[in-house]
Amino acid sequence: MGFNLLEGNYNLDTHRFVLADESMVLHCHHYNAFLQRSIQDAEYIDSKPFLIGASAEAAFDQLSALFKKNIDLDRSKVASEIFRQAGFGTLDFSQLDKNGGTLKSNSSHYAVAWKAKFTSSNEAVNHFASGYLVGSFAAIYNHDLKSVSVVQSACMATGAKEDIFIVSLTASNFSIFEKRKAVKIQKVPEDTWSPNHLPVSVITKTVAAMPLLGDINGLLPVFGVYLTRMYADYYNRISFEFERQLTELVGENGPMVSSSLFIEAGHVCAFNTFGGIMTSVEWDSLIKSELKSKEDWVYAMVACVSSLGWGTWTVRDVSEKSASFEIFNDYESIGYQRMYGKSDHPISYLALGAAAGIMDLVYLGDVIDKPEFTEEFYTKLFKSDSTFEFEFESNLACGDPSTKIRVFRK
Amino acid sequence: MKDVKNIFDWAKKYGEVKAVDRILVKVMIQLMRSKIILTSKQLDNMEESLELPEALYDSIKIAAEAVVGKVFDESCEEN
Repeated sequence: MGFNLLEGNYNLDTHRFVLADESMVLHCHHYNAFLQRSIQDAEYIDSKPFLIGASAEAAFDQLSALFKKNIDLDRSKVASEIFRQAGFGTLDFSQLDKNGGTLKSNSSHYAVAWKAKFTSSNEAVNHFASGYLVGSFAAIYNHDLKSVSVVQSACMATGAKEDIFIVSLTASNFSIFEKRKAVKIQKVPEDTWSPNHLPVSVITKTVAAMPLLGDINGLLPVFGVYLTRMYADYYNRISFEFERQLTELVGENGPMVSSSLFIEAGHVCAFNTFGGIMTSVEWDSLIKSELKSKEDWVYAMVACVSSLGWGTWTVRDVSEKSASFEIFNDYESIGYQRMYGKSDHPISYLALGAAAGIMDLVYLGDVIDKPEFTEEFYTKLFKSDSTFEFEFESNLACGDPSTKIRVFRK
Repeated sequence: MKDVKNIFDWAKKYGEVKAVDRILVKVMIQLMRSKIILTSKQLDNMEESLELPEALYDSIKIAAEAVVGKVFDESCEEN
């Protein structure tokens, strides 16, 4: 029987999806493209090495652990299958041998994402795949990450017919990071706060059980977006490494400005993916009949969020004016602690943007009326002064027991 | 010295939701070299013009045009 990414890796107690010690989280093409572009906007930071290094690190560690435990695995096939099933596109590792080689692919999530969101690019954008490719190559053939390199010589986002990558046994041309530390996962308290009439845990379980896997082309079009089951620490590494380098260059004002773009990435993600979920056939048939008020829509959407592998999301109170969200084991905090230890400022930017996005969708965007989630609709809504504001009340990365977010009207 | 406030206003009007933040990230090094700290909130609350050296004005204009995807017409107040 072939490799199945979904078999037994989602934990219903912590709402984390973990394969071989790598947490994986569902995210859409809007988030992937927006986050990468936000980092690359700072052209004075050489981001390509860590954009590649981040996925090389995750893929290398995950596959090395998998291969160590299962010596009979067809290594190249497993690496190709994880990439395809996670929705990243296709990479046929049989095109490489132990010395490397040239790998061509005609399906790429990042190229699709870039073209859908920004029309095209002047340069190659598939740094995630470059890193995945070189990290997997090293794990498959037992090479040291320091002795392998990768170049993307053609990219479909620029108009090329296919992505072309050249992998070789030469000194690495990407960032190699210190090994991440193990972090204690918090015990999640029993849910005593959701309304009794709403089957919150059933919603989470049902959505988590959906067979969300990439198709034959390694793409996962669902809810009006292209989803990926991305490495949480890929997002974490590229966000926090960017923030670290920016702080080194310009001081604390840098992250103050750039964090607004990271929060916006979360907001864009919420708007499109959560909007897609709340207007889907699945929502209508499985969830909608249980919902009696707009507040119920918030509870139900948050129950769905817990199925994405982002940690346990809860709503502590909600009204049309404000809401409090408490998140246990939010993946940004876990990643920060694994990489850098305790943070001196809250860093769960995705969570902040996503929480605000849920409130904006329900109370400002009237998601109940099934609007079309277009760029024009987004711009019109969020250039207005009536959008929700947000703030951290606590953050796991700073040593607090959980991450609490308050969203409120201006 | 030239007024950059109108460039940010133009970007806010014609660009994406976080156009101003994107411009600020793009020119952050130049701002830092001139010892200027600017945030989108400050710009939102600013009612008067913001005069900056011409080289910085040019950098902000180039960044704004890249973000908005249009040419900023300095002669036209309305743009």
